Amino acid sequence: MRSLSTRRHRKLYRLIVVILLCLLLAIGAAIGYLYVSKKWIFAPQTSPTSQQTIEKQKEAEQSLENKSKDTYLHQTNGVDNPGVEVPIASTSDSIRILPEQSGQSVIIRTQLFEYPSGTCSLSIENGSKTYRSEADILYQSEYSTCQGFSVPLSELGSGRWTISIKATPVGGLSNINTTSFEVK
Amino acid sequence: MKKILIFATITALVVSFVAPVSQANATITADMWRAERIIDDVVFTNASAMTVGEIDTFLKKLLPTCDRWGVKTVNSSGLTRAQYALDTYGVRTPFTCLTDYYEIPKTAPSTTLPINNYGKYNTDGSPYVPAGAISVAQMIYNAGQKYQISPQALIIKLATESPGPLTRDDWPMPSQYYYAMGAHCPDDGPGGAANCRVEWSGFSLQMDEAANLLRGYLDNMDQSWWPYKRVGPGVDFVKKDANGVALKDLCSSRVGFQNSNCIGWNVPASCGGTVINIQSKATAALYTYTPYQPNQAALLNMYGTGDACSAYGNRNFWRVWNDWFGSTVATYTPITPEWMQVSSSAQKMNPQTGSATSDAPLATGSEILLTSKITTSNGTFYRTQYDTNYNLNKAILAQNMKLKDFVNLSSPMWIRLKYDSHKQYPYTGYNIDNKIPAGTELKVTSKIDVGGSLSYRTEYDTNANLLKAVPSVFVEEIAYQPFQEPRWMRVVKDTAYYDPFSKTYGSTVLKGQDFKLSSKVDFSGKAYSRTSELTSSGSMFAIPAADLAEIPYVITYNSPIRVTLTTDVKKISPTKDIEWPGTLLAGSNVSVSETITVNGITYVRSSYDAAYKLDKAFPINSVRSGDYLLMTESRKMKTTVDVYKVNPKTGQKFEIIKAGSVLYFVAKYSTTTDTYLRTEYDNLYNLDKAIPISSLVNV
Repeated sequence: MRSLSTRRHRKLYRLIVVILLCLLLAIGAAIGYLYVSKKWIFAPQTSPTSQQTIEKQKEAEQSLENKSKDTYLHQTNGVDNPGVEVPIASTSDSIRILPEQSGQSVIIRTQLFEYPSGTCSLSIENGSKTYRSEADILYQSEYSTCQGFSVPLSELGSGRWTISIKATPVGGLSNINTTSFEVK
Repeated sequence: MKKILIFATITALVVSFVAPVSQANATITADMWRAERIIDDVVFTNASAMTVGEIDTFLKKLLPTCDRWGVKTVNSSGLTRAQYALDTYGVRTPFTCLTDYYEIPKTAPSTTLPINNYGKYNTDGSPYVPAGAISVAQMIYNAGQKYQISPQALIIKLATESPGPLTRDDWPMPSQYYYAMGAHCPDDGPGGAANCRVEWSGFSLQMDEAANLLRGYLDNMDQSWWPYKRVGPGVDFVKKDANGVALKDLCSSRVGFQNSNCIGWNVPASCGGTVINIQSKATAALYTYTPYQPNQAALLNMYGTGDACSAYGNRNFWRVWNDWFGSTVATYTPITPEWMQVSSSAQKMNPQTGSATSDAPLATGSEILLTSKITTSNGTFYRTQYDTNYNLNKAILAQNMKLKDFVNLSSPMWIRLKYDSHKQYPYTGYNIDNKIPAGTELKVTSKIDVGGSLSYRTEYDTNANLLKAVPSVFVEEIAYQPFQEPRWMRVVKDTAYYDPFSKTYGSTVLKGQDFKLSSKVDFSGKAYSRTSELTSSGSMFAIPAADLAEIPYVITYNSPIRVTLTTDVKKISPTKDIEWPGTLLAGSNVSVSETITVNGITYVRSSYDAAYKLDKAFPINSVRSGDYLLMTESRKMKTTVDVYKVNPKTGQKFEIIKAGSVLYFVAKYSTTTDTYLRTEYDNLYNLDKAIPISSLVNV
């Protein structure tokens, strides 16, 4: 004959099993829903994002950074300052003048090479009339430019004009380049 | 065994949830990259994004330790860093990391390096700071403020441009600080290497110049003469060399022309590039500063390296920003839910493009609950609760919304707090100011109804135009309330009319006056009763309730007197002017003992009603005691002479009353010549005997 305590234990055991089964069913249903709706871990991935891949990439990047540092420092070893002085600009290819007639203005774009800072002087003349303007130099890694040469057509007139740009770097000598442009 | 099985099952379930969660954290992937929109303007130019302290804390978080003495080993050599640095770079310890670095700012280009504290420490181990030197955090902050560039942008530029990079390097060499931001470092060195210009050396000048260049690019890219990257699809420029020879377009097969927004993958032209329809000025500025975009190989290896044509500057800027600071795109931020009103006819818009959505226009004056906002280059926009909940990208331009105005009350009102309360900002419902205890009385002069909630604003706050009010659900109006039963009451002491709201006095009210009162108010702990006349006229004056009392019934006759009704009457409540049902017929006999005089009219109450304290009486002039009229009150009088009691109708004489006798008289009989008073005794027995009033005096 089973004892009272044995019967009680059996009842408790059955209760726990039932609760666990219910829990499993609920979790299964939730996972099923997530799978069907492609959410959470079932969301599609378009590129490798596992933590291991990222860690490997980071190691590669770090290695590259270390190498870059080492290269940089090797290059500058023994040098007080690894920079180079701004090369002296030469007239022929240091100033490029790119005029364009647009609407009621003649826009004069410029490309300045080896002019990290300074000023530009614009002169436009046709023999009888001269237009002048000044602008600062704006630096960019590929080429600098003169800021702000947009000449109203009312200041000019139709015909051929000679455009001169004088670029004066800070602490350096000026250079001048000239081009001609037909205003229509 | 069973227990183990159960435990293992539970453990497995728990682990199965935990493991995937750790993998579900968001990482930056190639499909998230938008070449046309690296970062939004409002994010890039948020100069107040970090304080100096926050920048310093952040840098220390990136670089928590510094291998100052180079004790760690350099992998490849087996040497310590100290030995390696000395042997290879000629640099001695101590090294100075970014978080310990100070420099006297260099403010103009020159070939001289600025004075700094590299390698110098105090005896207590703290970094030595030369006079006038400032920290890296301060330099970043100053540059951000000066040029209105986000310090976060400058930190990331530092992280992506400096050798090391300095933000991560725990054993940097001095020269790594010289060109830390890559400013004035064109890629015209051998093999496209950066070739920094010595005049722009120095950490402080690099930081300042980098911010200066970025600001210059932002401010000038709308100009007609602008030759670099710009917002939009770009414009075609002539592409020729110095001799006028047409050059090939980097991004297409054209010759002699190239789009301004053609951005290469890397320095070698052979890598090619694409034209980008740039969507923000900040993105265009970044491409102008670092004129390369990441190719597919660089994007697919987001945290690593790509191929020979991969450039990483702008990719890393975007990726590192996302990793450190979150999205580079202006996002909606939640706000305390606030009710606002459409101030001018408006439509919901796409904040990024500035174009209107297809939603119906919002009517002017309509109230809307707003729960998030976003700031883009098109302005600040507020999003409705519905659109926020469903994450719809449409919002209302802030300038089309306003806070609803308070409305002045037609006349001031007094309110009393029913509960401990706070004034609230009515647009959010948030409490402000200190608690106001229940029972507090406030004078309010304006109100506001926001989102269906009515609130009242005090006179003080109205005059000061403060946006705070008390919700109406917390208050009750202090106003005269009508009596359920208007009643007559008597003034018990000399007093005066009083307006408790304006605290002003009116005319005098004398003791003994009777008033019919029909409304009352409790104010500042006192009650005030208002007469019917003043109630009808709307006057705010009343009589202090403490100066009023109920008009009492008075035992007038020492013994009940039997009287006869001379007419049909209804009993009434003399003080309330209420008629009781039922009619007493003329000729009915009633025993009365009490009277009440209200506003000069005397009423008698039957002995029965008096015994049960019933508020019922009838006019004294509707009863007679035999042929005699009851007096309104018994009178104690004294005979002045010896006088006969007589029958006033016939003149018959009865017993003689000696002079000086004191008698109580309750009824009277008037003839054409005299008035006769009958004693209480004779009245009780209805004896037709009375004494001429001319023989009597009051006692």
